[in-house]
Amino acid sequence: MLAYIARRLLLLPLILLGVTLLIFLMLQLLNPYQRLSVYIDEGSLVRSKPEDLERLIRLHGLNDPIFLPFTVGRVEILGISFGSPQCRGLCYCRCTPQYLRWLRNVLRGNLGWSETDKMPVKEALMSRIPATVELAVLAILPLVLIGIALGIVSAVYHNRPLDHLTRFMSITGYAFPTFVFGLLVLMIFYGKLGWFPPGRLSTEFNEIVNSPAFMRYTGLNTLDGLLNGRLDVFADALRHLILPVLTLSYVSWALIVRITRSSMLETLQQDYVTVARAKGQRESRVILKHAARNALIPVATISGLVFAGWLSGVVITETIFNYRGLGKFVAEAAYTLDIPSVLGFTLFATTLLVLMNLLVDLLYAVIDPRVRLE
Amino acid sequence: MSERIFLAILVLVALVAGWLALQLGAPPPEKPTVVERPEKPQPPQEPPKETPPAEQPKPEKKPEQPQAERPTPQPQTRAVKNPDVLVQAVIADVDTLDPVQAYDTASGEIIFNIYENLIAYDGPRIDRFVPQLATEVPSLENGLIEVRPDGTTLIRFPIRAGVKFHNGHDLTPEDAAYSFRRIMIHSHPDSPAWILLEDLLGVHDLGDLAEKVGDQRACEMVKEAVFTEGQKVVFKLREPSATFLARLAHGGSWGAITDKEFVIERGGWDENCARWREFYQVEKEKLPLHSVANGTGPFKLERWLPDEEIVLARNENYWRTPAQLSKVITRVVPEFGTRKLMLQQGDADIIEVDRQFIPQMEGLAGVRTIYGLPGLSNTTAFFNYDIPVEGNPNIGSGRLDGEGIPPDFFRDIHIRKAFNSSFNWKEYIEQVWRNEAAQARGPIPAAMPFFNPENPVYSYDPKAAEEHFRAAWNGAVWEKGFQFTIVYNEGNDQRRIAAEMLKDNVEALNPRFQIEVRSEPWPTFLDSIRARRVPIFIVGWLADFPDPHNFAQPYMHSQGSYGIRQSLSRIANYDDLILQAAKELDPQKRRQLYYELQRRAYEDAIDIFLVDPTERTWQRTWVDGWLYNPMWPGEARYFYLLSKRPDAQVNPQLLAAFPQAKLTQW
Amino acid sequence: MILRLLKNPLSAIGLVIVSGLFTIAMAAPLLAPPERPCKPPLAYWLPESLLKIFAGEVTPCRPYKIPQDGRWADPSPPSPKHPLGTTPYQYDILYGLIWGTRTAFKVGFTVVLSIVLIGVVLGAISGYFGRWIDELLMRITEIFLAFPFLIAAIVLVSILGKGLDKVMIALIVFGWPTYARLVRGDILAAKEREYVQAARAVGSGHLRVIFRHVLPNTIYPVFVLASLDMGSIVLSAAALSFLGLGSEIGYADWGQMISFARNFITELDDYWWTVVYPGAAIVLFVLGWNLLGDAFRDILDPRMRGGRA
Repeated sequence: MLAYIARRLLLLPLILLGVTLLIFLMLQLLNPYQRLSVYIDEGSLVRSKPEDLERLIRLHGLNDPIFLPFTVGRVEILGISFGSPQCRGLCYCRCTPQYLRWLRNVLRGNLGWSETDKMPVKEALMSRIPATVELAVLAILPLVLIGIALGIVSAVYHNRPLDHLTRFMSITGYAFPTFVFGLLVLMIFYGKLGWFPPGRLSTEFNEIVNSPAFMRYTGLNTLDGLLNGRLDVFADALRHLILPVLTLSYVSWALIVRITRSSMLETLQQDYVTVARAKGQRESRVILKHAARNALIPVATISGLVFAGWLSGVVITETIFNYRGLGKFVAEAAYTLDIPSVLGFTLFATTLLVLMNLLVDLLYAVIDPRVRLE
Repeated sequence: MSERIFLAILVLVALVAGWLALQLGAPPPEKPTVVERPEKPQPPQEPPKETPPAEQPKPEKKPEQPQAERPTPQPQTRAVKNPDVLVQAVIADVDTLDPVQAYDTASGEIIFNIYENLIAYDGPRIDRFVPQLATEVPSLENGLIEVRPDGTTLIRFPIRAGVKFHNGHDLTPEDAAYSFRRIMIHSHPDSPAWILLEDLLGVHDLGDLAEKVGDQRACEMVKEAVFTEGQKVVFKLREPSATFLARLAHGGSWGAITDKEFVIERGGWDENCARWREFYQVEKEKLPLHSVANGTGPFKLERWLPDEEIVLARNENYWRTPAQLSKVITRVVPEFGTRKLMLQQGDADIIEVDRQFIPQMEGLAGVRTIYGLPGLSNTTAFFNYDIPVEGNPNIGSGRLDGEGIPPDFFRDIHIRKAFNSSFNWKEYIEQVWRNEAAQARGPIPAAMPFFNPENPVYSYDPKAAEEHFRAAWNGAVWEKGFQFTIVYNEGNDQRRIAAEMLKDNVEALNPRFQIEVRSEPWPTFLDSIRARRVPIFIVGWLADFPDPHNFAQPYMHSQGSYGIRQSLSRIANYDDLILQAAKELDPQKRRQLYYELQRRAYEDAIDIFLVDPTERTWQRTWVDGWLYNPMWPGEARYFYLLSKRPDAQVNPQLLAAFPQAKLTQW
Repeated sequence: MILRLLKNPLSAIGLVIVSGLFTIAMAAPLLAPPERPCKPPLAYWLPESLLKIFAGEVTPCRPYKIPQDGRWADPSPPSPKHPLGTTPYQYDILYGLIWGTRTAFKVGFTVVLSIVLIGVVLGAISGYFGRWIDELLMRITEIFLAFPFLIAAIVLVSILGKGLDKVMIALIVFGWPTYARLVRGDILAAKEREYVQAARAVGSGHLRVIFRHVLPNTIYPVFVLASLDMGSIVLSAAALSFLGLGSEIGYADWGQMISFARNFITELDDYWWTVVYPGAAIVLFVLGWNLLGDAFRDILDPRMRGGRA
């Protein structure tokens, strides 16, 4: 078991290298001017002289080769041209390749500058992680509880109208594009009813939270509200979280319901369940006590993965509710090709995913003695 | 058994919730609209009138407002939400707070309210200045402008005494001189440094000067260009400039006066000429004022959380009466729907609205809009007079054979006139700009001094277009046809539709004419413009300073921003005229020169001048004192004038200055 | 199998929806003829390259471009001319929906077929040969899996540029690893079964063993996953459209039609048709495939669990 954990953890740096390498590989499809795009807007572009762009490219080192200290001249493959137009064959340069430069900085703890958030990437990530954690933690609870409840109902009333109804509803949720659902609930509950506003806090509470008297222990508004004894802050934070939580869990119900259902169906046919029934126990007890306990192991696994997925960015939901979290950040960064931000985020998300996967595997082994880790 | 009942209830609840959501979410078509009009049962904020109401509105009570967590909402605060905090919801985030680098309007607006300049615009006027941190506006009459026989011009600004920065430091002439020296040293290609460098040192980049005269000398020249003289700061221009005061006025972040001591403390340039290269063209992360601010203005920076909000708090020690609002919060909300809902709910007081959404905004209770305000920007379709053929997907074969266009296609005046006669301004302005724009009469927008309101323009005339196409290239164009692509920057609907309309009208003339309209994402578009691969490109220009030179130069000078990109020198040369006009101090003579330029832009049909848009604001009716000046950046603009009150008035200065502006409120 | 599908009401609904949509997609040129018809008419169903071989002259046509009626930004309500109304900028919704069905199937089939193919081939190689090949391929798979899917797709589309083909490329590049992993796992299990051991023992070649014996017995889970992915791929494409990374403006694509409506959604009372119709189309499509996939799962392998994570 320990050896297994060690092996998985040793693989992590390898995966990180691979993922970041992949991003730099994709960058090869762009020329230096295109890579410059994140640093310059239209107003500046039209005002710039041709030599200004060259200067900016030099400033950001965008013309340096990516992996090896030489550039390859222009080659055309399948209509997409690669390589530098200023060079024929191979051109060596006295420079640090971009990937190595980035890697060296990362090892020194410097993730670079985020043009998306106008601050160092590390700070940007730190300032956004709590928000996403808060959202994900709050969303996973209703998701799992309601998902499991519906899944059990579906399995118990297998192939009867109730089953069909539950499945139909959860699948509808899955089939709903997140952005349509999100915008609809925003329209109803904010536009029409004025109950649940977008953002993270209302203006007055935002000022309280940012005042020096309010201690920011965790960065999670709900938790900090409780810790500071400010129930009103807690309530306001919750008020802003309801819609994103609803959206996030609604579109993921289908998955949990489906897994709970199939897993329950399987367990209900197991011998020990039959035995329990034969012993004359009440059906509800059989279901909840005997069957559900075993059937929920795969559900826990999947929930863990869904949770990890959320932590690594809830792009659409955060965008719609103007919720300043990781997902909104990385979507913006990816869209504008703010590569240092994307790289920084990827390091975080990948580490998280790998660790969560490992954790889920371990939990699985702990819960289910039949599973052996190899 | 009980479990079963529980499960059944659970399902029922879920069902009802789902049904409700569907009912509310997708109402049937026959359901009446819920746009709140005065007659509807829900009482609007204020009686609907075209003029601001004088009487106190009834304390509003929303029947469907839930018992929120807030314990006791007082009626007063209900009427005006957060009365001393103003919230504006905008699309774009601040780029940087350092005045030497900020060059976008979002950053400009914040800097505009934190920092002050030597002189300011006189309220809504762009052609008159009032003193701000200077005590007098220099002029030839008061002797503060001195033109020496060799053309060297000295402009002196006496600095106001008793003004303090937000950190308590006193404002000195040294601070003022340092602020301008620092921006010239910074000289970043993506910064506004050129606006000062052009007049003071005759270059756009200090590096260029240093190459000619050496690093040490270049730095000394910077210090000689701006220096102090007792309580005055003095600018030394190489030759007279009609535009210099406009370049310095409040509204341009590059004229903001910063605290020298504070900047140096934070690692800024210490005026040591041996070290200036270390501060030349540095990136944002190394700018001392990127995320902090210390100005003399009516508001100081409280905090800035990028992509979320920037909060300014009242400067209680302001040298004039402190502002009325205690805080101004600028929220970044890219989604239009969310911004609109925020305004509707009173969570935002002023929001940014694109023109295509105007119909959706109409009839919002408690909302006021003022429109028809003159703007200082325009949008133009530029012809490219020297299109590279190699590796260019936009011009087909690169020859006049019906499957492409030659590099010099647009050098034939008939082609240019034909395209100009093919554009339907009326339809474009009506459908796309919702009449919030006028047909551009040349490079200089309507609100600019020396704009000629009588300058001739082209109009949609398919017959004329056909004649010109037939005459172009000795008939070869009409006979063989052509094919090329108009590229626009993705996400810009106004440009896309301009291109589509042009395409439709031109293609209708002759089946052999084929134009493709294609969007490119910003990285690709940037590269296409840079490499000049685009046969016709549609771009806008926003004034840096309110002087026609700021438009004539980029549009018509052979080395101007657009002139160089379209190789304008291939068809005409207006350079001497432009330089002459910029130097001329006599307004009458300047007018003649600019009229001449505008006339020639028409005669030579150098571009398709599309529109001069007008501006509009959307705000809650409780916002008081809002004023507009085309040079003030942002939405809420000058926070100092604003307040929130139930008996809010539209600023009388606004209505007096812009009689053409219209006001509606619901 | 069809019979069993029809017996269960949910899967029957799924089957009806998918086949109905497929009919619409195929009949699009008849239901909504484009303004400038394609010649010869076969061009609607066959790729141009194939058509050129036996039809000679082909006039270029762009049936996927939705006809536009004016340029006003605000949508017009349903009318005899536009039975389902128009989107913002006056693109006809009915036309867009009909041709958008084609787009959805095109995107779904292209992407799913490609990722299944890549995934199955790599997974099979990895699972069957094992050792360092397995190690290498699985590390690569892991790298792709460790990259959050939507983010990866956004980056790649931003780099490649706008267009449906670019979206499909991005979805393929980051979509295959799930299949590779699934197939590998199943093959590892199948490899140990007796009949495979037997086939090996009688000296069958690698390819023969893989394709004749191993794959047929491991393909069902892939089949189920693929049918579910038909829906989710179209959803991902729509999500990209929503973020501004989709097909060219005016291209018949549901995701884009909804993202058009994005700014009008707060006015659903006034502009309900802009969201309801394209939204319903997407929901139907995804729903259909999901019901079908669910049914397949129940029929083919009642014990199967898991799925997309």
